[in-house]
Amino acid sequence: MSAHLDNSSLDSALRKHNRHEFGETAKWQRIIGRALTYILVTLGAIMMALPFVWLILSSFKTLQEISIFPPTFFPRNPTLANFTEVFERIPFARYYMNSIITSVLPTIVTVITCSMAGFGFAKYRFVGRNVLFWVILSTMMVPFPATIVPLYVMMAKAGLINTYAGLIIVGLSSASGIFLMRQFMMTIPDELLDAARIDGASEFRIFRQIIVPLVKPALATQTLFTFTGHWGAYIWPLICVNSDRLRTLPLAIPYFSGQYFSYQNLINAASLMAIAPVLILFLFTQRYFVEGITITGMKG
Amino acid sequence: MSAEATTIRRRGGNERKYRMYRLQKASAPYIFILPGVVFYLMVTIVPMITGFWMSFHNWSIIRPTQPWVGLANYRKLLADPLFWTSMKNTLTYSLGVVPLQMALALLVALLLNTGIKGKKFFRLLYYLPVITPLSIAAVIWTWMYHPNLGIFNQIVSIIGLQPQDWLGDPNWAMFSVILVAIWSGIGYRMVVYLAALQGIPRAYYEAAAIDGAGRWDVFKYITLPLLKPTTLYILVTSVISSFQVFGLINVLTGGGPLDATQVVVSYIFKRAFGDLQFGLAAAMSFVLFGIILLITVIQWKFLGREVTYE
Amino acid sequence: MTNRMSRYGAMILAVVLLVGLSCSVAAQKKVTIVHWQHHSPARFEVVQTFAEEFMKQNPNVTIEIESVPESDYFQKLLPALAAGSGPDTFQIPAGQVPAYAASGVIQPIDSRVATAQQIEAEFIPPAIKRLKQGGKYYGFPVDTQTIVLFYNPALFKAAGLDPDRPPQTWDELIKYAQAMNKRDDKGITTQMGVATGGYGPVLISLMIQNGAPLWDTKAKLPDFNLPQAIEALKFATDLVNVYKVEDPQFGSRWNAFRQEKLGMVFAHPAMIGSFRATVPDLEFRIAEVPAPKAGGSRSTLLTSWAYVVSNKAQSEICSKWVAFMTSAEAQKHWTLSTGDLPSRRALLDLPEYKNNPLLAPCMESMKRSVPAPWTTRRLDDELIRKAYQLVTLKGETPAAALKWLTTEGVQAEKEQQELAKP
Repeated sequence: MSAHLDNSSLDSALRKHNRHEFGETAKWQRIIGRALTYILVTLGAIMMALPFVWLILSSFKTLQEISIFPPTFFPRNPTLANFTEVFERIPFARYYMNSIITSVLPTIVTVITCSMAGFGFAKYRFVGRNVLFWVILSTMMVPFPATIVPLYVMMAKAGLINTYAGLIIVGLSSASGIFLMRQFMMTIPDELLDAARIDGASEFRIFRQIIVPLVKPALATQTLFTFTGHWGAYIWPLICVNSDRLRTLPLAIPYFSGQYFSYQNLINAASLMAIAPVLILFLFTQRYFVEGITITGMKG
Repeated sequence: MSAEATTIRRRGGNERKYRMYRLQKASAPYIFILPGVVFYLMVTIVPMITGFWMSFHNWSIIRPTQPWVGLANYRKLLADPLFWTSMKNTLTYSLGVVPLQMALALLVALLLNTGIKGKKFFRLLYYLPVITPLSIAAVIWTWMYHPNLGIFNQIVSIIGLQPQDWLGDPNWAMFSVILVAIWSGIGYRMVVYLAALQGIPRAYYEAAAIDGAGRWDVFKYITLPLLKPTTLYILVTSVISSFQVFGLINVLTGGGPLDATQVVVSYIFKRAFGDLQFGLAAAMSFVLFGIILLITVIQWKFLGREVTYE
Repeated sequence: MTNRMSRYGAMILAVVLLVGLSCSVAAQKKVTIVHWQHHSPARFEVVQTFAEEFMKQNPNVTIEIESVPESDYFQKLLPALAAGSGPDTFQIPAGQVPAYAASGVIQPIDSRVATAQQIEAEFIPPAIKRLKQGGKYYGFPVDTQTIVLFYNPALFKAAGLDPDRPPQTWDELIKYAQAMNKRDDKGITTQMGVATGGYGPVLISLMIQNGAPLWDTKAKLPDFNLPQAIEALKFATDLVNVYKVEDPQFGSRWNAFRQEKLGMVFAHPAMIGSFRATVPDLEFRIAEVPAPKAGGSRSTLLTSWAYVVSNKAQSEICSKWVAFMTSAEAQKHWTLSTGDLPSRRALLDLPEYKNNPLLAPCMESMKRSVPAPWTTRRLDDELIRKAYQLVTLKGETPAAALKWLTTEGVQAEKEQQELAKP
C-alpha cells in the first residue's frame, strides 16, 4: 500500500538517474519542489474546504448571528439548539429513514446493473452494441425541462406517484454509470479473459471472479457517485412525493425557507446532518483505492 | 475463440455441451447488458420521445388541446435572440470550465497519488466541494466576491489591479461563475482519475524507470495514454453537464446581470415553468441536445479509439 | 419485473380504493380536499391551523396540505395538472387566473358559497380585479402585498432628521438619503441612504405613482413609452448614477438594513416578520412611499396570488374551503403571522391596525393600491429589472430602456394572452 512513485523501485531509479545527471543541484531542486507541492496542495485544500468548514461552524450559530454580513467565521455563542430544533419542527428521523430506503437499495442495484452492462459493452462484440450504447449516452443530453412532464405523466399512469416504488424505479441504473464502468473495463487486457475461458470458466464466472476484483476502485467510485446522486436527488422526489410519509431529506431542507426569509441556522444544521452519510461513504470507499492491483502480477 | 472451442471439445467431447457453451457465449453480452439497459431505458426513452413529440406542438401544458404546429417552435427559437445569447454563454461557460477543471483534477489526482503525507486527508478536503450544498457554497462565494468586503478585491488591490464587482458586473459575472464551477467539480473528477490511476500496472513504471525515463516522460508516454478511456469519460460527461448547467448559476446570479450568465437550460426552464410554453421549451431542449450530441461525436472520433495494453 | 410488481400493486390499490370508496359513500359523503400552496414556515402553520378548524366544522372533510418550496412551486404544480392528478385547491398568481380559467383547469367559485356581488361587496377592487373572468370570480386573493418605505429612526436622528416625519416627496427622499449616506476616504460606501434594489414591483410602483397607466387600453398591451414612466425610472436610476445615495456594490439591502447601515428601503410589508425574526432588537419604522410631488399619489403596485378550485374538485365544499382561508377571521390571522395584508374592506379600518404604527401605513397603502394590468409574470420583476440595469450598468437612457421594455413586454404579454383565449 506504499505509494509507488516514491518508495517503489521507480522512484529510487529516478533518483539515481537524476543524481547521476545533476548531482547536488538536483537534490535542492527536489527539496524545493517538494515544499512547493505541499504549499500548493495545502492552499488548494483550504480553498476547497472553506465553505464546508463554514457550514459546520455556522450550524452552531443563532439565527441572529447567521443573518450578519459579512458572515462571522467562528460562532460567537455556540449553541446546539439548531440541531434539536430541526427534530422538533419536522419529522427529520422519518425523512432520514426515507432517504436511506430510497438511496441504499437503488445504489446496490445500480452498481450491479451498471457494472454488468459496462462489462457487456466493453468486452463483447454483438449486434446492436453501438446503437444501444449511443442511445443510452444520448438520453443524458436532453435537458430535464423537456422530459420531466412526460416522465411524470407516464409514472402517474402506472400509478407510481407518491409511492416508494415511484421514487426507487427511476434509479435502478444510470447512463453515466454504464459509461464509467465500460471505460474502466476496457482497460482490462483481453488475454486475461481468454486465459480464463481456456480454463473453462463461464462468462459469468469470469465477470465475478476476474473482472470485479480488478475494478474495485471503479466499483467504489461508482458506489460513491450513485449514492451521492440518490441521496441528493431533488427534482423527481419533489414532484413524485405528496406526503410526509415519503418525504426525503433534500425535500426537508427547503422547509426552513420562505419567500421573505429563511431560518438559515436550521438549514445549516439540517444540511450538515443530511450530508454526514455521504462523507462517511467517501471515507469508506477510499479504502478500495489501492494502487496497481493484480494486473501487475499478470504481466511484466 | 477457436482455441477455446477446441479446449472444450477436447475436454467434454460432447456435442450438447459444446452447443450449450456456444449459446452461453453468444447470449452472454445480452444478459450482461439487459438489466442495466432495461432499467435505464424504461424510465428515460418514453419521456424523451414524448418530449421530442412535444416540440412539434403548441404544448402550453394547462390547455386541454395541444395543437400540432410543425416546425413553428423551431422557427420561433431561431428568431429568439435571447436563446442564442444563452447558447453563446453556455459555450463560454463550457469552454471556461471543462478544460481547466479536467487539468486541475488530473493534477490533484496525480499529486494525491504520490507519497505526499496525509494524502487521504487531502483527498477528503478536495472532495468536500462536491458535497457542499450549492446554496451554502453560494453564501461563501458571494462573500468572497463582495466588491467592498470580499477577499478577492483585497488580493486584487494588493497586486495593484482594479477591484471589480465580480458578480454584479456583466463583464465579470461569467468569469466569476466559471471559477465557482471549476471549484465545485474538481473533486468529482479527481476521484475518477484516482480510481483509474489505481488500475495502471506498477510494472510499467518500473520498466520506464529502468529505461531511465524522466517524470515528464513517464507521464506523457505511460500515465496519460493509459488514462485515455477515463479522460474520454470525464470529457464527455463534463461537456454534457456543463451544457446543462442550471443550479449553480441559479444560486449565484440567477442568470443576470443583464443576461450575462443566462444559460440555455435556465432559459428553457423559465420558458417552460414560468411562461407555460412547454412545446417551445422542448424544441429548445432538442436543439441543445443536437449540439451536445455533435460535440460528443467529435470527441469520440478523437479520443474514442480503444486502448490496449501492449 | 418491477413493472409487473407495480401493476399488481396498482390492482390491489384499486380494489382497496374501491372498497374504501363504497364504504365511505355508505357512511356519509366523506370528502378529501388536497390543497397545495407554496411554502414558508409561517404560511404552512397558518394553513394547518385553518385546516384543523375547517375539519372540526365539517366532520366529513379531510384536508391534506402539501406545502411546496416557493422556488419550485410550478415545477411540482404543472406536471401534476398536465397529468390530471393535481390538487383540488391550490394557488396561482392573480395575473394567471385568466389563462387557467380559459383552459378549464379551474372552476368559478360556487355561487352557493359566494356570489360575484358578495365578493365585490366584501373585497377591495384592486385585490379581486384580476380574478374575474366572464362575469365570474375564479378565486380569492391571498399573499397580498404592496410597497411601503421601511426606515431606521436611529439613523434619521444621527443625520439630524426627524424620525416622526418620513420623507413626503421624491425630492425629500433624495435629501434625506443624502443626509444619511456616508462614504470613507476611498469613496467606498459605509452607510447607504436609500435602496430600491432595482426590484420590479418598486419600479412599477414609482411609475404608477407618477401617473403612468403602463397600459395601452386600445391595443390591450403594456406600454412603458410614457414621459411619466421615463421620469420614474430616471428617478430610481438617478439615486444610483447621479445622487449616489444607493450603491449596488454595497451588497444585499436586507443585510444592510438589518445591520443599521441603510437608512430607508422600499419593501413589501411582509419584511416586518423577517426583520423581527432575524434582528429582534432592530428599531425600524414604516411609512407610505413618498409622493412624486407634494400632494401627489402614493399608490403602489398590489401583488397577489389567488386560491383557486380545480375543475375536477367538488365545487361547493372546495369553494367553501378557499373562502374559509380568506375570511375576515382568517385574514386577521394571516396579517398577524405572515404579514399578508388584508384585502377585505371591513378589516382595513380596524382600530387594532390603525393604532399599530407599523401596520397603519400598510393599510393605507393597501387602500390606494393598483394591480398590474398585464398577465405575463415576466413583467412583474425580470424584465423591469433588466430595464433598470440597462440604465445603471450600461448607461442607456431611461427612455431607451423603456422602449426596449415595451417591445419585450408586448411580446411576452401577447404570448400569455394567447393562453387566455377560450
